[in-house]
Amino acid sequence: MTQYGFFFDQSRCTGCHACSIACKGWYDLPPGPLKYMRVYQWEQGAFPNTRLGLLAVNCYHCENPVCATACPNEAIFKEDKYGAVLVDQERCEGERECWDACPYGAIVYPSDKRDEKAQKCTMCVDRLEEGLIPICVTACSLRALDFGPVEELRKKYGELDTLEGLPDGSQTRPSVVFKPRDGKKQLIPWDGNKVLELWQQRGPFAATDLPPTFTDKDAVTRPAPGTVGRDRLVLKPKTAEELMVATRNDE
Amino acid sequence: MAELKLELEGLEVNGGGLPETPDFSLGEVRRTPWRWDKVVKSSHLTNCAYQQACNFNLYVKDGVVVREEQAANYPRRNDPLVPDFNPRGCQKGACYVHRVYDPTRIKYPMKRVGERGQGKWKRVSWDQALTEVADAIIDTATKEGPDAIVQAGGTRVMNAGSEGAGPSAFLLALGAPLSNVTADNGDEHQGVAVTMGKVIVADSADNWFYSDMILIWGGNPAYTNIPNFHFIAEARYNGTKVVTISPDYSPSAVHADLWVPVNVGSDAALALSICQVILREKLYKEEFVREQTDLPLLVVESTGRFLREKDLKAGGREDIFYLWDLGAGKLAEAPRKSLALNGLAPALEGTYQVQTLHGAVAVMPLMERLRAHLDQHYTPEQASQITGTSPRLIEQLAREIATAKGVVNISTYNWGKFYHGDLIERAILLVFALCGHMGRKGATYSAFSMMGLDTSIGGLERRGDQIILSAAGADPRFAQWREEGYTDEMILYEYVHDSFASGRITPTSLMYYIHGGILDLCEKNPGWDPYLKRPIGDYVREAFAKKWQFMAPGPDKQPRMMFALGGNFLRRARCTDTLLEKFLPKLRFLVSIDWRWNTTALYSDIVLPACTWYEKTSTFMVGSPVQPFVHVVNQAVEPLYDSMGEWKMFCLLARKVEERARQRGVESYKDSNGVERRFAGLEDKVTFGGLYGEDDEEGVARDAFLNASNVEEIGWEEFRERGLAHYTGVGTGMRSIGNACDIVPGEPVVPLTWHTERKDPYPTLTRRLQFLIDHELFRELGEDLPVHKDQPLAGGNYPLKVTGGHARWSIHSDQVDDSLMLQLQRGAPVMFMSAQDAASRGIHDGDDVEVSNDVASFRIQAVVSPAVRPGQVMIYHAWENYQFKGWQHFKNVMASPMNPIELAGDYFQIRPITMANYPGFSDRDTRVEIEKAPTHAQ
Ligand code: SF4
Ligand code: SF4
Repeated sequence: MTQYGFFFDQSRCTGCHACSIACKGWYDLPPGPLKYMRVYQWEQGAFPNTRLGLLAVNCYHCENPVCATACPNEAIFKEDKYGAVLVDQERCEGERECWDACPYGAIVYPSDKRDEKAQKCTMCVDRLEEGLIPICVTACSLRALDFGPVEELRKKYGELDTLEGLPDGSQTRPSVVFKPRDGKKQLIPWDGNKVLELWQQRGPFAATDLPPTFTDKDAVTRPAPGTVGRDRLVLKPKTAEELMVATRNDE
Repeated sequence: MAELKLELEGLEVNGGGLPETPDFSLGEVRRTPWRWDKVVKSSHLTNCAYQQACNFNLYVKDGVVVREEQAANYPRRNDPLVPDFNPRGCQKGACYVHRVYDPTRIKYPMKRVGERGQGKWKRVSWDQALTEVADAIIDTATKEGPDAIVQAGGTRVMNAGSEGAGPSAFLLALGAPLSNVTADNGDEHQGVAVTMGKVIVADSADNWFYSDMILIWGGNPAYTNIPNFHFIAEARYNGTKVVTISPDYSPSAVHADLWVPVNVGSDAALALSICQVILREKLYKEEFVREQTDLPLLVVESTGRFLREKDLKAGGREDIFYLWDLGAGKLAEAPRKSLALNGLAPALEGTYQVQTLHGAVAVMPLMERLRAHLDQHYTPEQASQITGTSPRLIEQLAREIATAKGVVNISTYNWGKFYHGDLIERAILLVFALCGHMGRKGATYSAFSMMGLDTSIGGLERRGDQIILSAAGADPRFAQWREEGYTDEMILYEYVHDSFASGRITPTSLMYYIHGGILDLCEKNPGWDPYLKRPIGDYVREAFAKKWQFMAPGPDKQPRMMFALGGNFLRRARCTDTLLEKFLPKLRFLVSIDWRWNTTALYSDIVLPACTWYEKTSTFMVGSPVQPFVHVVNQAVEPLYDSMGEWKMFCLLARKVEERARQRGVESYKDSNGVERRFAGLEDKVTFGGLYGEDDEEGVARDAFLNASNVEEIGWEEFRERGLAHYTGVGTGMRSIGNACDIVPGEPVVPLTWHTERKDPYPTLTRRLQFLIDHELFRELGEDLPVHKDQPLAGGNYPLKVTGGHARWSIHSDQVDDSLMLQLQRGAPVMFMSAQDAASRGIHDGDDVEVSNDVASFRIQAVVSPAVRPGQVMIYHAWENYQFKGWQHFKNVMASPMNPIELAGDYFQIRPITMANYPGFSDRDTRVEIEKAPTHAQ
């Protein structure tokens, strides 16, 4: 067996979801939580010192597939040509032990109903058999994804097997190489009082009877916690609804 | 969805095209070979503008397109270090098949049986539908003239095959005006038009790779340039600095090396301040400025106007200008037939005395006047008060831009959506011109990105060389034009001006302003733009009286019948309610042609089902040099239901009009120029004398491709199999020639090299990049030089500004109700607002809010995001009216006041032309207040 795997370049990904949509299209998956490829987004900080998090995550067909180990019915197996981790739909009884085990949230279900069978990224083995690469990789017009024998990917892109917010790879040994996004630094100091002064103005044409927009420095530099909807990465949402929230576009 | 299932069953997908649930057992996959009948290359005839278009493989089984995937077969570039265009495609394209089999498709010809917009329909036969449309045409043409038959087009009507050729040929044959919709989208580039004399100027994405800096200023390519965005990433890996200038932390700022936040609408001040630093520190490229711009031209100190020949000689010309030649130490005529200076050394500073008809006057190079203007108003300290950007950052930016070997911009179609967007564009162009970042590999300014085959679009545009040939033979103006050094480009533009003046092409934005009541709204609110000294109606009357502007039907007539196709004007236009109230009732007959039930269709009287792009054969008449390929649209499957391609539809309609006219005994009608036209022979005109039959849309597309002079010479079958062909030139098409450059397959497209290298003059009054517009109206409004003006209070005096951009999840409204796309968002329209503004109003993420101003109000869900600047709220475009509570669309609040500067005319480059120089809609200046909507309110 040659273990195949993925490469993901976080600094190229714009969160366009083409990978996820193309996957849905190819496998005829309905709109909703059945997302073999999940594109997560989250927002942090206060304007203008803001960060937007972007992460496209599929199954990394780990060398040590803890999902398979966890399955009481031996429904998950590692296929022996490409090293794809697959779910045998006939054996799966929907017990969700695999979901608990996988640190990436790669196991997905059509709904929250308890008897739904586990589904996941198949590495597009059907396409591999036709000499094509996985549909998410071909669909990414930003070229943020690559695919190939994982050893070759490592030679090409390095050994990094984790990103901020993802588990480190020592447990499952995922077949993936990552390239992280660049850091950001603030060039111009952010002075709350100056901000207040600027933002209190309403421009030359505004009527004099409008009250100033902000009067309190803290209201400008530290907005109340909880105002922003999605302020962290939720890699393993517990319900279908949470998954939809974590993987929707709210930039 | 139940209905959809039924239809699919009706199609009998047997033999396992699409298993109910995917089969993941590997054994099964290995045992069963792939089961497609064929794989067809195709693309999307949508107007995805900058990104358009992408080559796709469609997998067809039993007459159903079951899968699609990017073909990714674009050839390598000549330079092995430069990335290629693969794979292209976006998330909308990757699931277009979902739309093809979607329940929102229009299945049959439908006739309205209730009130307009009430949603009561009756299925009718094609014959009945066409009869009713034909009767309405005959009634309107005979009673009010064919100019009362208007078209609410969209950009999709400019395709060579089915969608564009049919309607355009039909309307032209009828004598009805063709619509120019650019400015009702706010897509016009008025600032570029007045400066360059054209708007179609753009590079290819691989050109970005050669630049030192990519300036994303006014655009959001992460949303609007998805298939090309990888070039930005790759250029960055190659050492190019990516700078994003935007009010919000835009999705394109996420990937920039430097993000410069600016106040909404303050970009002209920022640009002018950058220019101030460049002049102050003498960082400009003298040679470029002297040769390519009007900055060395002399202006009269006392008036600020150009010194002209008529100032010096009795009977002198308006369009001969002067330089101060430092070599000879005297006045010299500025060359007009070429930009080449031929040894002249024009001064860029100083004051000189010249003898005029009115005595000695002081003159100075425009550069000197500009310097004083910038020093007086736009030092970094002054500008920072307007832009909110620190002076230090402005200086840093100025130095980096000026010292970069090459800078390219990405601004897409943003500035036209600002009331003062023309000023912003003129100011940014000044930055590029001062630094000479134009017409060189890796150094370009891009405006309207367009490139097209130079064959005709259903007769709308004869091939450019034919126009020039026949002009040479038959137009008395021709010899004089050539004598005066007109380029082919200038001559072609003269014919576009003619088309506007004769009403053959008409700007729909003017129609909505004047016939649709939007102008009344501005007239009632003179305080919105405090810079205006006269009522707006005054400017409009002046513009028509002086023949600066034209429209069909004219201000004294009314539009009576409308074809809505290739667009969705009741979704797109601003002030929706005003149009519904004032414009819609004027139309006795509104017919919509589309493949999905959009807003306009829902208000129509008759709706005709077009087929989708995978059910017709066509090719792109207009594309974009961003990716210099033309694509094929191959019919992969038969049209579903009762749908048909527009080519066939309009052939049948022409036949029906003739038939009904015969039956009713009506023979002819008079057009607006008093010419008698006959109904008989209409079909013949549409089909080019029967050259293309109603079932031969492929022939129309094929010949458009084969007869073009500016594309690879490959056969039609090869084109169909490959899916794409490389442009080999800009051709002599009006929608392409502005790029003014040679195109070599495999090399980047670098616009304007005919000017920078060949020294062809620009199509402007001064024949140069022109920053001083000494038109009377520009002088009256204080805009003869680029200035910053504060945004008007469009909609009233409210604290928040609504801005927006092109949606990421839909190409205009084509996918706005697609369930696969909606599941990536909140499933309903949203408005992004800052955490600060939300907190101060007690609004939380996900709350329903009420947005209102003096014009209207609407309800929407708030998304609270730290990426949004306080004081700004954002709504990405293209939601359908019916996605809002009570159909109260957000564009309703967009008052879109008319900016009188856009009425100017009769000044060489400032005359209405396709895509510019007529009033357009704006929306980024809209002011609103927002409050939390009462919960559970119904
Ligand atoms: S297609 Fe590429 S850029 Fe788009 S979300 Fe997926 S990985 Fe990111
Ligand atoms: S919609 Fe436009 S950008 Fe998207 S895949 Fe189709 S042609 Fe390409």
